[in-house]
Formats: sequence, C-alpha cells, structure tokens
Amino acid sequence: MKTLIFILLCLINTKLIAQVSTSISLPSVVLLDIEPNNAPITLNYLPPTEAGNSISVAGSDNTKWINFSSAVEPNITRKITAQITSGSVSSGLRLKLEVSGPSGGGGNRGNAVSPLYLSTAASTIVNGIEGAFTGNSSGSGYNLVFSLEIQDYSLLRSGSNTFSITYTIADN
Amino acid sequence: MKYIIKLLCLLFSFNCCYAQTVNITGGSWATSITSGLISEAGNDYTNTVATSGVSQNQADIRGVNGFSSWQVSVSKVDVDWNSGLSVWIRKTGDGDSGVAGSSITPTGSTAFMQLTSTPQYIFGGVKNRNNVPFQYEIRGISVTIPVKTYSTTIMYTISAL
Repeated sequence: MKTLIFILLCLINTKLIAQVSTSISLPSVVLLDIEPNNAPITLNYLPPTEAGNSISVAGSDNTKWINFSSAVEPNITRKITAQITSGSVSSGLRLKLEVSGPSGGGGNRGNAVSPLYLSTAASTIVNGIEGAFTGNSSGSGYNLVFSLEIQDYSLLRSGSNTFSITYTIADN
Repeated sequence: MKYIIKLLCLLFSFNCCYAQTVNITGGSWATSITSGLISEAGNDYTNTVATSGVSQNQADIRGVNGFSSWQVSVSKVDVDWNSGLSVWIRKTGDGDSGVAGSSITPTGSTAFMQLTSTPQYIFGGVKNRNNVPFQYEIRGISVTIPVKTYSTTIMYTISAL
C-alpha cells in the first residue's frame, strides 16, 4: 500500500523539460607592435684614445619591447620572427639581439629564443605562442636588447649605416 | 484490488487532464565576438561579457491550473564548452496570464544567476503563465580561450506541486 501511494505521488508530481541552445564564436586575433614606438635606435662605436687600441662599442639598447595579442585555434602555435629588411649592418660587424621575458599579460605567451644574430633571413625570436596577451606598454611583453659585435676587424670602415628590422607573428 | 485499480485510473485521468508543460519561445541564442574589438597589440578583450536581448527567450507555463503551485528550475548541459566561459540567466519580467488568481514569484527582474549542471530554482507561481522573459550572459571572454564555436544547452524543468 505504501508503495502504491508513493507511485501515485510520483504521478502527480511529474516534471517536464524544455531546452534552448546557446553558442558563442570566438575569432582569431593576431596583433603585434613595438613599444614605446618605432623610432630608430642608434648603436655607436667609439674611437680609441690610445694608439694601438681597438675601437670600443658605446653600449647596447634595451628600450624596445614587443607587445602582442594572440587567439588561436586548438593545437595551433605561433612564432615571432625578426629580420633585416632594408639597409645593412656595417661590414665587419654583426647585430646581436637578446630577447628576455615575457613580462605581464596572460595566457601562453611562448618562449624567447636568445641570443641570436640578425640577418636578412627571418630568425625566430619567440616561439610557442598560443592564446595570450602581453599587456600594452613598455615594460610588458618581450624586451629586445640590441648590441653590435666586431666579426672581422679588417672590414671595418668609418661611417654610418642605417637598416630596418621587421618583426612578424605567424602560425607555425 | 478493484478499489486500487479504480483509484489508479482516476489518478491517471487526473494527470492527463492537468499535463503541465513548459514551452520556450524565441529560439536559440548564437553570438559571435569580433576580433576588431581589440585595437591595440598587447590587450585582451576589454568587454569580457556577451549579453543577449532582454527578452531573448520567453517561457509559457501551461496545464498547471489544477495544481496548488509550480516552479521552474534551470540548468545547462554542455555540448562543447570551455571552463573559462560561464553562462548566466535572469528573469526580466512577469509575463502575463488570462487566468484569475494567477501569480508569479519573484516578480520583476531578478539578478543574474550562474547556470551549472545542477538544476536551480529560478521562478514559480500559481496557475498558467505566458511569455515570461529571460536574458542571458556569457562571461569570461578572452584571447586565452581557444578559437572555436562553443555551445551548451539550457534546460528548463517544471515541477507542479
């Protein structure tokens, strides 16, 4: 009898369900820039003050930062490359780039490939980027430290050279 | 035994006459985020919330005039989802009813509540109710979430008491 009453109560307290679908589509995002700006940097060598001494480098430049925003499909990673795209480094010298970071932001911001020497061929400087953002400022993202090294002293000539470096973020 | 059989028939007929239903109108809510919302490299989305229309869906509660009261619970069943996203729902009005003695509780707009796989009470009432409006939000939008279309199913369950 108790079982019967329980069954009857279940019949009275029946439930019904309605449903509706909800979806959201997220897009691919790829943005990259240099902070604080694209203004040129200058690297100088100083003449010796004593006969017989070599020229000496004036130091390095660490004022540039790479910022980026990246949204990728599952199982996709991105890399950032750098290459000299116009002009050239003075003969006898090579341009060294040290990349450190990341600093700030969130997500999978990848890993720095450092140090390396830039040329007209694209070189990977950051790899393994997935969905990520670095923050938008100097002091965020990856810091770029440029310096010059003497590769062949016999090729050095006085004067100055101007060149451009292009940074590219792309899918692996 | 005959008495029991007659009682069963009576209760079956009672249940058929008062078959409570919840019907949702307004269709699915599908939203897309535009990549152009991020204008500066280094930034994530500033607005991390997608919001539906105020009356994206409406609920009709029928077949409950013979019951003392009823209530509706909501939950979700993920089809393809990301744990970084959350779905929220709120009731934005009371709908209408042509039946004397009808009521709804709570009245007016409610606060957003997060949907989970566990049914949660959202509103109840007495007697039939039509066009009770609902609004949704999806929160947690970020570039750190993989690019694809995510979907879930919102379930409305009615219980007559």
